[in-house]
Amino acid sequence: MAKYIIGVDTGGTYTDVCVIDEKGHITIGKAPTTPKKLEDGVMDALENAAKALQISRKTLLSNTISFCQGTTIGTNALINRNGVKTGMITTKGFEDTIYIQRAIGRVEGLHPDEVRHQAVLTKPEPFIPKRLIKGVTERIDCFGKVVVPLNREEVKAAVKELLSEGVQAIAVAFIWSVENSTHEEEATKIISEVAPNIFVNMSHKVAPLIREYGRFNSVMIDTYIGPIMIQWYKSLYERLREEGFTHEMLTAQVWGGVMPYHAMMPIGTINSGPVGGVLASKRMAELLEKPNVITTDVGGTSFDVSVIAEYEPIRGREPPIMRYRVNIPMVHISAIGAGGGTIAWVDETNHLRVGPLSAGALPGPICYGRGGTQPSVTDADLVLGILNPDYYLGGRIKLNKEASSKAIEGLGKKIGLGMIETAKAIFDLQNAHMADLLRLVVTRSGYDPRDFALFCYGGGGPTHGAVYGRELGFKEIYMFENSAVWSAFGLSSGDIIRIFQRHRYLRIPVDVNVVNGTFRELEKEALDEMKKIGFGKEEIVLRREMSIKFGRQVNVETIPVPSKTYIEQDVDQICNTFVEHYRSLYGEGAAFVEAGMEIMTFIVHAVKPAILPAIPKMKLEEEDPSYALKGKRNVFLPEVEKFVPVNTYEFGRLKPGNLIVGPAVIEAPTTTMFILSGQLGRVNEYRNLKISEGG
Amino acid sequence: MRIHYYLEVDKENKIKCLKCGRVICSASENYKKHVPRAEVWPSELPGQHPAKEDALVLYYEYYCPGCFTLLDVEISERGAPPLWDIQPKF
Amino acid sequence: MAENKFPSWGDNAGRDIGGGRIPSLNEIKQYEKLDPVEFDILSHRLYSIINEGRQAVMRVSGSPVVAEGGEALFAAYDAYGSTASLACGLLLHVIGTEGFMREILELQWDAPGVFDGDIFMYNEPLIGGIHACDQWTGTPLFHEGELIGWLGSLTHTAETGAIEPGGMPPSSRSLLHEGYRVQGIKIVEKGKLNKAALNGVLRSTRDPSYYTLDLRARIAGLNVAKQRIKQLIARYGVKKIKAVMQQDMDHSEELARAKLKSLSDGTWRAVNYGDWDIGPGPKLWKVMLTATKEGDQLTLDFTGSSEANEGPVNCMIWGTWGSIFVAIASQLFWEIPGNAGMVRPLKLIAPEGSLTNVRFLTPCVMCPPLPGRHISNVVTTIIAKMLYTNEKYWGDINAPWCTMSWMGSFWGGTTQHGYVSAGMFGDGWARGTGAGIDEGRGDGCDTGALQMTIESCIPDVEMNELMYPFLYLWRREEVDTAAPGRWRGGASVSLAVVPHNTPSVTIAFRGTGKYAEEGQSLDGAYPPSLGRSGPAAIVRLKNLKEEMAKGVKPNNIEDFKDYIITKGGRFRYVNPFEASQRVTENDVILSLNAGGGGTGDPLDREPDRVLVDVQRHIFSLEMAKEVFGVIIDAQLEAVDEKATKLKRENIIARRKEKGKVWDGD
Repeated sequence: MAKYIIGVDTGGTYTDVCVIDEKGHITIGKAPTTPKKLEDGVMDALENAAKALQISRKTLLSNTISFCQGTTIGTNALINRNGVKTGMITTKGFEDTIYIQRAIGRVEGLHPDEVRHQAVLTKPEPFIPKRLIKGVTERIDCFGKVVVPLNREEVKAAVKELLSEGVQAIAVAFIWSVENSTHEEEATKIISEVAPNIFVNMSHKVAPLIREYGRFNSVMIDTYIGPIMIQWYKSLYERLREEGFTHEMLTAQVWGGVMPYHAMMPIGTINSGPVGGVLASKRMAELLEKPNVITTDVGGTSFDVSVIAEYEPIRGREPPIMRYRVNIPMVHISAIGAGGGTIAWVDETNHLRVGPLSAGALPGPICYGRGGTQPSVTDADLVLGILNPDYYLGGRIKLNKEASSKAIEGLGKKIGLGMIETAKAIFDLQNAHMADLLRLVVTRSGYDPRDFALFCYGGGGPTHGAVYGRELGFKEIYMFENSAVWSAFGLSSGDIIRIFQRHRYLRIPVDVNVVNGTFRELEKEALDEMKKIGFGKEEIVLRREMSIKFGRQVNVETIPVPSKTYIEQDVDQICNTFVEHYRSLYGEGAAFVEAGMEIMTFIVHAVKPAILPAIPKMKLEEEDPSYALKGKRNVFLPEVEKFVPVNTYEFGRLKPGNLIVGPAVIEAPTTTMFILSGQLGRVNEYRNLKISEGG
Repeated sequence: MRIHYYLEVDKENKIKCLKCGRVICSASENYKKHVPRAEVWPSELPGQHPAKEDALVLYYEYYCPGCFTLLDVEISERGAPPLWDIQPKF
Repeated sequence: MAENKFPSWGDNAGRDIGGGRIPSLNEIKQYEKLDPVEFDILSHRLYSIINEGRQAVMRVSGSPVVAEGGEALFAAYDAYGSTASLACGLLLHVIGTEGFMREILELQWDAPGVFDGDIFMYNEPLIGGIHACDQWTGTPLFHEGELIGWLGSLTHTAETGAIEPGGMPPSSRSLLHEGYRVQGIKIVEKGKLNKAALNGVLRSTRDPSYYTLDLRARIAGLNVAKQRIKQLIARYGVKKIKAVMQQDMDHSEELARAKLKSLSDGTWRAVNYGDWDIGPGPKLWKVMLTATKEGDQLTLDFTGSSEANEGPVNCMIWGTWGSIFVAIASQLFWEIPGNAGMVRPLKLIAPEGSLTNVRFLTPCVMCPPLPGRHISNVVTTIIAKMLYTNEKYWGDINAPWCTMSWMGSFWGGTTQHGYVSAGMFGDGWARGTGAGIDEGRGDGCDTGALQMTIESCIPDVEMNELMYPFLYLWRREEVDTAAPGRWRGGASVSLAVVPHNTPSVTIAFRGTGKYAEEGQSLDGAYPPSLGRSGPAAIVRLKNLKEEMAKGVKPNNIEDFKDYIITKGGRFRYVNPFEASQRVTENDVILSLNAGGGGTGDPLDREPDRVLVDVQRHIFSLEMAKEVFGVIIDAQLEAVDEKATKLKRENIIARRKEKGKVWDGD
């Protein structure tokens, strides 16, 4: 009997389903997203996939052993501000924490150009109104000592007030609860007694890290969307069960893993879609044995970049969700408005600009014929001959080249440039922006681009990847054809990961028993929690990390540490590893060693490795790609600045082993790959295209 | 041409209140010398202000003579003449 | 700008400066213009490199001031030291660094000469920077025997061997009290560290490792950027790189002049007051600005400003330029790339000996807030008034931002971890911004920023409590700090802290606002106040920690008063400036900040908006009633419309009664 692994990505416009059978063959299902009842869109997309497999949906689901769902429900609830009515109980005197936002909330998440416009900037509105924030008398200090005991009567009164206002959920957030959680637990107990039907959440559970602004934001968001997400997942799971699905339904989590839905962290589902792409990259990186990868995803609206180092996606420190800083470990994805639909325009000083606004997918570029009126990057790509107007998205959309040309010509008139010159300028500017972001992300991470392979996916990644890849000096540029379901593919192969953290401020030299004891406790907590979720100790792999900093410096860096009972020398070794790591990231002389080292956080990853979908590895055949040759087309080559007839290939007819000499264009149903002159494209055993300089 | 939240210079080069239409003076003059002004000590207002006996400056409030909209609250030394803060060229 | 003509060898002569030749000034201004697309790409590429340099400085330093507060500047300059491209956290630091390169060229071209691989150090306020805390490090860029430019990096280092720890001693009475001042010495010579030069600083500061760390950070940034620029030159050719630097400045100048031209000509005036110099009592001083715009030129004349203060509340000329730049770059020319071109249409008149242009050796270490903030305020005010004259810019009109602050900012002593340290409470950066008008932002942003720091950021309470031996009783958006107006200013933060787990700690105060209102509002709004938790004070509550252990936690000034009555203790109201003094675990240190300026008559603010303000603890019921004329019930549920109408009519009637037309000259 066939065994299927399914990954589902509910996007804004479409719901994508990726079904992988036991041989590794991928079947795609697609259906419009149904905003009112998202599970309908999922079932429709599954139906679509089942049809392609020529089986019933029930048969499909009965034979599915792993099902992972990524969704934008949480994100949408934040954007549309229709989460549940939430109240907060907090330490008296700090009711304004999520309003003060450390002042930085005023610029968090904004593009640098927007930040310059100081006269108009405002902060994002928190999701809990001030009148639903109740401060109670209690206080714990940085050592976890109770300075002021919890006033239970005030907690009761606060709950009653919140109930009378009709709140459906309460977030409990006290200062220093990460050092001593008893007050948060006591308060939660009181709330459950007074209001047993209320959804209650504690900040030290959601984000057990120091820094209260991020932590309070985390519990605010998790509480605000929690009940909705839990409800939705339940509904979907019930639908799946009705159709014969008997296994765990998993959901994407933004730190780069998946979780059974009933144990998920709601806040972890936000922005988890792009994470699917990173997971897919991680899986491919392992297959290709490339431990260090920069991933670039060019969609309709944005250009997303992330870094995988030693097979692990880099996570952000104090990352924001939209404009709210949180303390959740999140795969760090940097984005700029440089997608296929990004609009080209002329500013007041008569300069050509590209972005940051986008026409998205709807109305989309002018050539889509869906009502777009402003020329976009895709229009320029089309006019320059890179895109095939008759074969876009596998021929589903016929691109209107004439409309693009006219619009670009009109734009060019404003700045005294001809049509092709203007299209070239748009192409150049777009690539320059992408290269600049790429450079910034890579150098900020402390790594050298030359040590990394570049992955390009998304509708527009393979189209521009050769250019920005060459610009940054990447030696190996990989292009992936299954871009449309890349994210769903990634989700279907994600490990189950839960990250357990404990804030513990310890100054080196440290008592090794304390270190051992803390890890022991944390690992026990991890295993207990995973057991509750349904995974026995033998299924779980534990990995340890520590976050460390130097005394006078704010930079906290997280390093993996060995899993064992430590002796003093082991701790010394950890310190040395940290100093080396810090040096490699921040430079020689950056470590303020004299100020001493401080441990900030103990971290344990509890990982249940995924049932990996098989990825077919094919035999390498001949180099000659003529079987896939489609013809020739005039393409404007940036290297020589003129139109040159260039070979075009059909991706589906390429065979592993084929070698394509640039310049060339390779057309696939979901993307177009562009190879420059002086580059070579080799189809590898997984049918990815690998581009390098040469020839 | 607008010169203030409430004031503009009209076609006859007169400073005029945008709210009530009152013509205040010629644009070549300091409007503050042609409108009622009142002395207010900061401590008369809510909030933490210098106590009256400590205060080294006070507020002069300037009103539109037509609608008595508050046009400006000028921090000033007592008895100082109105600051000519807007002197457009036209 | 400069008193003496620079370069002294004239505009048409170049010369050999040791490591190569500096072309004549006229020569570097000649360049082949890049086409618009290439200019955009190269200009952006250069900016990315400068930004990368700044990121490197911040990453290597990792100090709270630099890495979190963002106090790091990185810039590329042309051969004669004009800023071509810059990345900064504090707008204050930008234009003032040009003087350093000019003096290097004038004084050192011959001996010792300027060579590739040299890195110079400067922190002399007379020549540039702002104050002695601001450390500038710069290196020349040579290409094939020609000086093509400079790279510079500046950070604020909060310990300079001054007469008090922390870098900004309120007790300074001379520039000689304000720490070491390095005069363009080479810290690195042709790539090699000059240890003797370094000792000049290290042996003059209380915290040599802190200086070394920031120095390494600046050098790291310079090295990274220098390498990238070399790559850029290899890729595009040196001619284009020199061209993009000049074109960057010319482009900004063009945009600045065009914007000025689009505004009406005229003269605008503004005044800002301060109330303290050295004590024992108050001293009223003022910054007076007369701004005249004619065509595409804006003249800023500070004639009429007070004479230099005896204490460090003064600006040297570069401090004044920096403070002007804060307002110009954030309010007037926000859409223009920051570089020297932006200020070319500006002319500054600052009478020598006034507190906007004090003479050499006058103390000036407080310059950035005092009178820097005042200078920024008056410039912001005249910009707002100018912008009214073109409807296109009404969305950008802002009332002044940074207003009074009265904080127990500086502490020193033994931390809860047992080591001796010192520091500054950075919470004061969470202040209200100025209000806009209908077409723009409307209300100011609460606890949003200081105008000088475009990405203002304050530490978490937990971080401060981890590092400093203090416990916060509260940190909140303080009621009645926002300036009341048709559009209100932003509210500011107030805090109360208690020494905690320390055997010995001191606190020092810095502020204004006890005797004179500082903050201006615009067009009928009232000035902002310091709120309702003040005045700033050290409140001694008897056996405070024991009482807290029993469940007592005072949360506002009324609680303190009750506590003092029932259990004992006392208030000690502080002066705006108070030198470091010992505080104990029973002392509460109260710090206040006034909010941002507002715009328009409060009676024009919609009553429903005022209701929301009161519900959000931005305004008190009293403020709503007395200033806005809005009557709200005690449960804060609704506006009493009838009573409001009546009250507002009463206020108007009172205005009619009190108002008298000026009858002087």
